[in-house]
Amino acid sequence: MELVFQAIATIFQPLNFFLTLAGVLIGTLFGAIPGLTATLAIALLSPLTFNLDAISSMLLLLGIYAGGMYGGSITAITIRAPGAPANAAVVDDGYALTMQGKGGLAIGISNVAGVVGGLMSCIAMIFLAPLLAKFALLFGPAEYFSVTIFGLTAVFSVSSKSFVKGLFSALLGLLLATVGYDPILPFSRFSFGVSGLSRGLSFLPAVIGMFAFAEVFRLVLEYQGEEAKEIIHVDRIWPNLQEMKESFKFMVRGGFLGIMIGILPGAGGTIASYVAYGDVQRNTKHPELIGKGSLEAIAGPESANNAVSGGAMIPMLTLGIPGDSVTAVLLGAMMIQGIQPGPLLFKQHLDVVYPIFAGMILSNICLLFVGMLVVKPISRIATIKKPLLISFLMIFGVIGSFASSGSLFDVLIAIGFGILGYFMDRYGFPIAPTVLAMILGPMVENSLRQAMITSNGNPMIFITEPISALFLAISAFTTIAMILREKKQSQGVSIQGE
Amino acid sequence: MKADLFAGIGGIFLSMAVWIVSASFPSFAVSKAGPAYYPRLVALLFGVTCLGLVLKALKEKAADKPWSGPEAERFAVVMALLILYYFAMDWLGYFSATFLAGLALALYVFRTLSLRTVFLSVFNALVICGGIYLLFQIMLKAPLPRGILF
Amino acid sequence: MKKTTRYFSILLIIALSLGLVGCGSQAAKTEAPATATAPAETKFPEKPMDMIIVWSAGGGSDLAARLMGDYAAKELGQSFVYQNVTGSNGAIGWDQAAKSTPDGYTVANLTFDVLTNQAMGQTTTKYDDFDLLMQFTTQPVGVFVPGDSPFQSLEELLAAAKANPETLQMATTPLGGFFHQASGLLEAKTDGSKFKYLPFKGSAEIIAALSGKHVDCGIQTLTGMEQHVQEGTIRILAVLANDRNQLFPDTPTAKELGYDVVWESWRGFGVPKGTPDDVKAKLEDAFTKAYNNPEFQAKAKEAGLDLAFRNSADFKALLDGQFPNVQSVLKQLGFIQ
Repeated sequence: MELVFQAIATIFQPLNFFLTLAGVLIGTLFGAIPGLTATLAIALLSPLTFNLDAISSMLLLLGIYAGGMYGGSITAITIRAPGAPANAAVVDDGYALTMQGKGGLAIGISNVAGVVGGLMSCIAMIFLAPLLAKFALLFGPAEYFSVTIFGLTAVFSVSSKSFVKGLFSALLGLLLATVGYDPILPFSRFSFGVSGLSRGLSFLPAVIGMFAFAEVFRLVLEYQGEEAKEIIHVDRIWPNLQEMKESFKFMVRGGFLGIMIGILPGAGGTIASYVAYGDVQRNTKHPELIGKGSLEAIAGPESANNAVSGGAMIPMLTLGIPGDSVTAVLLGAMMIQGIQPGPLLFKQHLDVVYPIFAGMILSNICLLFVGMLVVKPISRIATIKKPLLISFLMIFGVIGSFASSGSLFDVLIAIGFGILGYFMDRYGFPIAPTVLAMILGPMVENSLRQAMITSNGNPMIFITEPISALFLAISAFTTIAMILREKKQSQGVSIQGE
Repeated sequence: MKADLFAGIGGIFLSMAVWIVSASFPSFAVSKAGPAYYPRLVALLFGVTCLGLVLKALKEKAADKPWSGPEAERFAVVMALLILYYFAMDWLGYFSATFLAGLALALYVFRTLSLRTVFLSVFNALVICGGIYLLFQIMLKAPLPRGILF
Repeated sequence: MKKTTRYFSILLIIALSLGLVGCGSQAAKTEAPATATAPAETKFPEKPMDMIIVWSAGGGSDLAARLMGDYAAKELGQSFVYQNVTGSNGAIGWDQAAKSTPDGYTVANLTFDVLTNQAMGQTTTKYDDFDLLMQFTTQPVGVFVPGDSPFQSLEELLAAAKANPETLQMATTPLGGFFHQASGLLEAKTDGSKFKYLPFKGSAEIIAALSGKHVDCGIQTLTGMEQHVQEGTIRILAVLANDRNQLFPDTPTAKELGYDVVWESWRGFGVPKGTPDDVKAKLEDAFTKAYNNPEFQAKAKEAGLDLAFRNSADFKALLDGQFPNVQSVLKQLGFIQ
């Protein structure tokens, strides 16, 4: 108990409190700017924290983590360019709300949802960490393969109206992800002797291209001059009681989904937010609003992706196994500070663990403050003169794709993906499955081949392992439901047509 | 729809290309499934999906949104600008290339060259360039591309 | 116009908040910048130097290199600009470093993989394209099994791998890499034993597979394993080093057990070949001094780095000794002819 008070005293030391707040602010801004990510912010900042003590540097990095997950929704809502793939699920509804003049409210809901999801995951982390960590260990190669397939179907079933087009997008992403090093053998595929290609089409430039550059094309092509549309007038930011009541349910559901998905190493925020979106789609009382400006459809996914942060911290702290790219960098940052995450951390170093817990809770509270501070001015991004906004987007896209790898070739890759992304979007091919497939591609391949090695080439392993079978069954149901829905709709259309 | 038809046919060609290129991948004694195993599997599934897309597109009669003249022009200009920006960064270095590209894009989109738009565009490009320089080069110590200029 | 002002004020907030953090971490710095004390026969360095790190920012190798680099830079009175040039198992970054101007302003962080890449013929860059400066860490490895594994010793494990070849699952990193080579050497010393290799992305995944009992055994660096061993979820059977390790004083080396397998991974620094001798000497001197700095030693221990020093000549001798072994084990594993 004494340690708990000590931890609280530690995080409220002026420097620590300030670092947490600054972290949340930096995370929000990096998250919001398409091209820059929370992972990049943490990776670049962690060497600069050599001179801070272990806990202070953790607080800064945890703040960035919490802010980053939320930040991406701001640009998704205001200008249709999500700051990170995890925020892509709210693009349709968020942008629709902006066009209706409710952009501020959408960002406000996203903020509250982020805090709710974040706090839920902190609670789960504090009370259930050792138990949940055991759950993560049940996952072997076959289970990972099935989870990635589950993630891909979850994304394309909600982001695409057409089954074939969704599948096209997802498989195209998987195919593009095979360029570069074989994950198992020392051989570079489809690189044709180009050294930039032999490193592979890394997903970050692909994400930047398909979100930021595609948006640059779209904005330039649709630009009608300044006076043409003056739709946006910003209204209130905070939801009223009725809206809060309706969305809160989905925040909680999203929070649970986010925690569970976050625990599974490698799965991450994108899957969580799309699964939560699907959950809202199925259970909302206002299905007619989905995709056209539903607040619930922002609450669920945004809560889920913030909840991933606590979920992903669990295997990282208790087993030393990071759950996503951000926690992987955090793990490195902790080790350089002399903190060795693993089973003994909770037994021997509660003096480190409690401040981390307290810091995560504080980050989420700071997130609410930062939200209050920035939502109003930031929701007006949509009112900035478009030409300036467009050049801002382009520059950050270029710099972001360069900064992640230190190679100009990645800028070229991002431009290529920008063109691809624009065409796909224009002709009704969903972008999100391609992006997620690029991220998950290596994991899909690795786990598939591992499972086949384990079973000596027998594909039945995916069905005889119960957890794997469960995830495959859910994926199959999702797919069938999607095909049936599409059939029904096309029949409806043709009847109306007659 | 025409676009679906093209995408489907293009996809089938891509799958075939993957199949052909991967035929020359080496095999390794330590692993039964070589580097070609997985790309071929995905290419096969992709090819089948594309075939489905083509069949579906042939049945549907709806037309795509057509490209208007100005749209095509703007698309080409932005694409060219991005590629020029890429080469300029290698040659001139981060600051001058970014400033020029940012300015050019803003002015191109504004179309009207009034004192106000020029001022706004220059100021915008300068602030963004300076901000990124401060952020990456000075605070985060992450190097930006260097060239013959700044 | 008002809206535009707001937009610029947002940009300003971005810059400001980052500035504040910069100050925050600066303020926490306790040590004053050291001035160069080395003899003044050469003016090097007169400007910040580049360090090329071939692994991604924030990872273990990256942080280790930056920690060492920061202390060395202090000795030199300049700073390092760290560039993470990643991809192709490091080949891209090392290629860039080897081809840069040999004036001492580009230092490359080198790791064991430079030998593997060269032996595999995946790159034209050789370790001979660098003049070595020094080695600062070593990563000894051990053979691990899940806590409730039936195998109590390395002999039992290898005997089982011999009785039923290619049935016991061994967790490694991508095939042909350092861990796979170590395991290949073990196989070679027990003619006939063969493992079934399950390649994982990295150490974290291997630890998870061992504690989740998804594999029968695995080869892993010792650092960071003591917790899992104390907890009982993972057991260590042997250490593949010359001497017993202080982390596991009761665990025998493979050598003691009669298998002559010593496989050591390392981190160090080099400059492109052709760098002037006085510049090299100054760099080596600075890195050596930084290595012996008690403050660096303390920080590195905290970070769990296994410090091990070799000067430029000893480092070169180590690589010259290791390279033929890397070639022969890769030949044995069937990667090269």
